[in-house]
Amino acid sequence: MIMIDGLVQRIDKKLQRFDPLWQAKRGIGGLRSRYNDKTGVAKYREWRGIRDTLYDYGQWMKNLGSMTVMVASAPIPCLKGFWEYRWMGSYLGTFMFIDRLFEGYRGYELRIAHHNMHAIVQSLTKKIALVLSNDKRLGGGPLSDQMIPYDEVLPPLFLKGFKDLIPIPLQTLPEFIICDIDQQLEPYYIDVAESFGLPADVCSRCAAETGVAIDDAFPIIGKAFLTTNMPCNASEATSMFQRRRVGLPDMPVTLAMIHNEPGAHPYSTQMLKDTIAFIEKEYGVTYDWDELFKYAKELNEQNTIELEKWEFMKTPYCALVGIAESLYRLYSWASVNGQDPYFTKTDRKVLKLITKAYDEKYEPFSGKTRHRAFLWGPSAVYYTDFPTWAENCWGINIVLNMDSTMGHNQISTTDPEEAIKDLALLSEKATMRHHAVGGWENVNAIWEWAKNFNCDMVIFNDNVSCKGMNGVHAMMEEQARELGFHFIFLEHDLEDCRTISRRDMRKRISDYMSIVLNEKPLDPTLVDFDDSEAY
Amino acid sequence: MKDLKHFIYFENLLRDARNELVAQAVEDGKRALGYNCYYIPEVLLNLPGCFSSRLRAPGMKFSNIADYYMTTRNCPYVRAILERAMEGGYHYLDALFGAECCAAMERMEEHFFLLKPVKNDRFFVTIIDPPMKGDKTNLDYYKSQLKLKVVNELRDRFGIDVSEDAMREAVRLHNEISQVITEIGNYRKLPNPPITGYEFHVIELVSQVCPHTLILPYLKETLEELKDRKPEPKFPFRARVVLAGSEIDDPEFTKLIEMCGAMVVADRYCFGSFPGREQIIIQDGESAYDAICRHYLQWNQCARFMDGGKIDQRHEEIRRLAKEYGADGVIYENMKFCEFWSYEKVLASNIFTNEIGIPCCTIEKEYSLGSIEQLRTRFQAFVEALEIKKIPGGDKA
Repeated sequence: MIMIDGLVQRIDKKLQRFDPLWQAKRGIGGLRSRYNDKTGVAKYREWRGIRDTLYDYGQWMKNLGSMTVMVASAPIPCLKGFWEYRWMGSYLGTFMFIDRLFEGYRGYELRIAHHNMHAIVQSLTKKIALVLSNDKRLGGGPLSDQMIPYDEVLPPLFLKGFKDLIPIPLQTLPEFIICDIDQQLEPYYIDVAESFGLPADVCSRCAAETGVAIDDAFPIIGKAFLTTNMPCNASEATSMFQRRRVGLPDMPVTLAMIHNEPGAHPYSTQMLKDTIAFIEKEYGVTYDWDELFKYAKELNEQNTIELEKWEFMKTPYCALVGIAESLYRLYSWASVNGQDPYFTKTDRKVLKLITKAYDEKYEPFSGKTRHRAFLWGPSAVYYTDFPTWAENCWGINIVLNMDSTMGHNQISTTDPEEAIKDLALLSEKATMRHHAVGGWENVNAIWEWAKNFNCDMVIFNDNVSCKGMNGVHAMMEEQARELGFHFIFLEHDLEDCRTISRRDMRKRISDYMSIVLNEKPLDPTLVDFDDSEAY
Repeated sequence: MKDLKHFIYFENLLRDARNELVAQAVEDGKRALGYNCYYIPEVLLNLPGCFSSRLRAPGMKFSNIADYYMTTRNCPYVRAILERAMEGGYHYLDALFGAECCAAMERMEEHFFLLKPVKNDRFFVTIIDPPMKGDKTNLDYYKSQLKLKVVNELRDRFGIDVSEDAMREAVRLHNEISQVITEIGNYRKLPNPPITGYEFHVIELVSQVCPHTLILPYLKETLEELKDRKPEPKFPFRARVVLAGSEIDDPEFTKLIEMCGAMVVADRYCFGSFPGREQIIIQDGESAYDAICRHYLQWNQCARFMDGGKIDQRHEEIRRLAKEYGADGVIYENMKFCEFWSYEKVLASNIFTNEIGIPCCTIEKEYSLGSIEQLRTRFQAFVEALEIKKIPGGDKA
């Protein structure tokens, strides 16, 4: 073993000139050097040393395996899907997307990131195959009428009490997750909506959903549709559009918006009960609490582990960082929400790795972190790898993201009456709405979060069309000054990369770092580059 | 037509939120209760000892301070209200009853307790979480929210009588003023009405911004006057339209449409009379408070309601108005940056044009009447299109 270690070290030393981090340190290249300008197509894979490069490549192959299984399990529906849906083609960018996410990752942070990412890939590929195999637009399948299409922002755990039904987040495949992968896709759907008369100043995510609906690009599944008022006004409005196009009996699951008040929870609880009654009626099935409890246990364990992870995140020795944390949490909470035990297993494995790294006092990114930042507000979906860039370019470690703080209360696994109350509480603290809407205290909670996680910086995602967050603009800035945080408004347009490009977003950070803080970049090749034509 | 006796007085009352009738009521010791949105039942703010004051910001040209706090990418109405508050225009208020009816509105109302722009020691703000559907679950929630954040607050902070008798008295007064306004508005159904849309808009607005007991005599007198008012010898407009959409509290906007040749015969927008001036009916065995909540949920036409029943209701209501008031078309308006009406405008114009067969014009506007020439062009073109349809065979054009 010692001999192998020695050999690896010698080879690594010989080949270190190909390592972009080594190059950046010496000013002779960097992480951007291996890319073609504009398209962002890499000329070669990132050299990370023998062990990390092989590990990274092995994981790349593993993800490829999941995609192969997806196509092999449903070859005809997948083929039809590529033919029918514009968004299906964008999934081909997945590999480039993953490579981009984990640039500069080494050692523990790389391993943890791939554990998390593979959980997403295996889940997503299964979901794509399942949906396409039963999509009535493509001919349907045996499970078509057993699916419950629901708005992706509604936490689906409570639907697991319907043993034979399969909850499917309708917008996730054609709109949300695909925008993470391919920045070029959603502008098409946004244009469809705008050509229909929708103003350009509404939230681009909701405009994109509207465009998908008008373009008939939602799969047709299920017997009834659950919409929701979450997270905000535009989501409510697009839901009204979608229900008309989807054409199924629908139920808007409207949970309390001002949810941090005692009066809110009985209402939200009753709303979930009404929803269960609606599904029972439309699908002719009966709710099974024991079935729910089975999955609630999974989510309870995941949330317990999440809270343990947070304790590590408060230290400089946490190897779960940046986008590896936030993308996983977003997907595992919002989309999976306890339904897939694979995520519990992943959490256990990752917690072990985090603990090991902490015991070794391992600092991610070779200890080059200069600032610990809390990312607040809804993030730009078209710039998923922003945290990776921020760390590699300026040494800003995005410790935690607003959406990662979603509901983490425990769900009763014995008492139905308690369980439904717990589910209501969990649902009120869902994606993008836990802190972004529903009252001043929710958004103003950032300072406490940032302080608890030992952050010196707050990056405030400034979605230009988010009316609720625009409404607290100056108050947030004034608070930051008063409390002594470095504070950066990061303008973006959520799913429309044309309004504010990734390059514009980087410039915002770089200007603050160089002009206000007078700092030098860790990797000068990352300061300004053009990736306007990239996935 | 001969001028209405009190019309200039009405116009003057709209020049300032703290107009002379508001000032008189405050001097009489009544509590001035501000609100923005229909979700806050006006009738509850007119319990004995207090009066409602729906917030406008007349004459607002620039909202620089509010722009700083809320950015220029937010609803111009809420920015105008915040700006006016910062200027000191609402010091007469004893309370603001807000609603999380949209994110922009809620954020603006939050600034009333964060920045404390109203210099009045008694002043406080509450914000309800309003319902989004018309079902029983939402009605119960609405009741509990209004009880907690309006009724109990009035009772506990100001000692306002919120008993059944007091509620019934408030409903009686509401029904009385609504009856007068409705009768005035009904003249718009006539082929050649003795009142213009602009005049009605002014009259409806004064009923919302002035203490009801003080404005009612003037309104009654105006109603009597209208009974004998002679219209123009020939209908002076080229078309009749329903104006629908979000917040419109500037009668100059109605005047603009009418100067382009289309009389606004029905006003289905925030600050309009549909909804707002319907009779509250207290059913047998029902408390006045329950009747108020049920009434406001039932009649609310906000584009925020998500359930199919309420969505259909708001389209049906426009269709009803178009039919009853003999409208040739509908103008759908949304305040710039209004998410709800941006979507509703698109959806409804598609439904009306392609499914119901009523022509629609959709426009977007600022709070203060800007881009007037562009709007004028749009309205003139719409009026011409409506005229063409009246020519035999013109509907095929």
